Amino acid sequence: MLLKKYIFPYLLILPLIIIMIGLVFYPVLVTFTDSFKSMSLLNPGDERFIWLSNYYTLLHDPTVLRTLENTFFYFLLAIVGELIGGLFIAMVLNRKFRGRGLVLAAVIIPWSLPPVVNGIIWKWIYDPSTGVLNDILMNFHIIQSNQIWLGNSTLALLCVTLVHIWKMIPLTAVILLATLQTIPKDLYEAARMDGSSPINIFRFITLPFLKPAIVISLTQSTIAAINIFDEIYVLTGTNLGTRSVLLQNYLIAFQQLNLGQGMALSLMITLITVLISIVYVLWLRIGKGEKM
Amino acid sequence: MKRKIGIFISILLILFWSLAPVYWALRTSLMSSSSLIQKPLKYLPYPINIENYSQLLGFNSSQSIWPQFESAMLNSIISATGTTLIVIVIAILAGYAFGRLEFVGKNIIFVSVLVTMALPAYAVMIPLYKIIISLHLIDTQTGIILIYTSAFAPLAVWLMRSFFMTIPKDLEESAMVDGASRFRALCTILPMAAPGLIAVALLTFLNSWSQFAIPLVFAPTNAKPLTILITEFQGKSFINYGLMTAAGIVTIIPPILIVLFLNRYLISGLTAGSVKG
Repeated sequence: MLLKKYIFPYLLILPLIIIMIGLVFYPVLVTFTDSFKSMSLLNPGDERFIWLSNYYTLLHDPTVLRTLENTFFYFLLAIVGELIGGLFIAMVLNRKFRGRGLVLAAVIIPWSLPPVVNGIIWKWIYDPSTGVLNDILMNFHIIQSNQIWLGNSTLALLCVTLVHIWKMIPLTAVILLATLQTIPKDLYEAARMDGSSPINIFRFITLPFLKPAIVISLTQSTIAAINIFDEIYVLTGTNLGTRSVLLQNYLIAFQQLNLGQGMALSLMITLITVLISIVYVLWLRIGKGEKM
Repeated sequence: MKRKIGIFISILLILFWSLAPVYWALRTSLMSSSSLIQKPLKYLPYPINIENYSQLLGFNSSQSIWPQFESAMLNSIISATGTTLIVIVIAILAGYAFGRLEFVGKNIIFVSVLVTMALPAYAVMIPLYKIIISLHLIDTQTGIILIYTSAFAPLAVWLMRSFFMTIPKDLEESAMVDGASRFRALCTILPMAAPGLIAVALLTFLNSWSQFAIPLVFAPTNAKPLTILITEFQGKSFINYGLMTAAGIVTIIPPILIVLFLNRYLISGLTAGSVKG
């Protein structure tokens, strides 16, 4: 009976542990050790330890550096765009109005769709000759001639990011909205009675309450932006101008079949994600210290 | 009054931003390829043309691509449903253990499972590829379901744990005083965790339904889901936008139905971690 009590919890987590060890922990370990090996399916006989050579080669490869640069661009633009857009939507939806539930459902729709389909939806909107974006902008005389949105690489980067932001804004909005609803209403009333300006109310009441939720949504936005893949694959294929580092990872591993370098690159991406997340958590901690 | 108009305009803007692109795809899917390139652009699909859908769903026998489409649709349904069922079972058991029981190594195990959520799929994909090949599971539903399960179980376990933690403890304690076993106690409080369970199921289903990068490597032909099939419409000599958007519209029917009718469960799942901190 006593033995049963001690073993019971482990029995409950057993299915999870088997799956995680077999399909995540063990492969990650292999990825780690194999990232120090030369390993290519093109010449399978040549498998030996080359220590940091894979990492060195990657960091000196202009193509890889370009894709890192592109990814950094996606990341910066996405976290700013998603935070501003998400905050705007959350603040509007934090008010009471008729049909609020339906508006909330509409807001979540882009998040629920497969990114591949989002790519198709937007590719047609961006289409240079029959796309609706050119049509609207021409009708309002904002542009003089049809633009090739996905041609020039800076413009294409912006357009791809917009599609990614379109999908991810709902997540930020929903997380921020949930926290906004926990802020006591009398705090706002008291501040208004004291004659505080809306900007100060936002700065000194709303923002401190929102901070933990902002950290959570920033972390989610960061992971999603660094892992951007599907939208780009559909919108611009493997064009270097918009290629993300994960797409490069796919090409190295499963097209060039250079497994060693592929694993080294995927670990570098993981490391970058973890480092950025740590920065967010530190920001949250420091903020808490100030208040005390 | 000025404030009210401001909010009204904001709501319209938000609705336009969220829905207009989806509307545009729907409109495109309902037009013939010749009327798609007509100028000026038609903002309404008039006259409605269901040519794309009949080609997709095999109403006309000549150019039907229904066999391919049907197999991809079945693959998507099987892999997403299968993953959801397995993940739910795993999440109930492990979520209960992490949320309600004490055992040695609990925190370290829980945290190491959670951390994997930050891993990009490619950090495990190459060794995983070899494992799946050696198990003869490449391009099979079983292989895909196993990989999805390992990818989505951590989030599900985390959510179930936090849902279990909100249920008062005395309920199961009184059940156990009556002589019920631990396992029976878990079953007594399970109905109370039902909303959490639905949230976990919906999130897992949507995540599996949306996958692209994983099946691109692990299910390229036989087990190919809709997301992969759709991108192949543009691989040919010209892009058939009407057909592609029609396939896209069919693909987004399940997510849209879930959002329209079950959005409160989705939202509780998406925000479970953020409110309690």
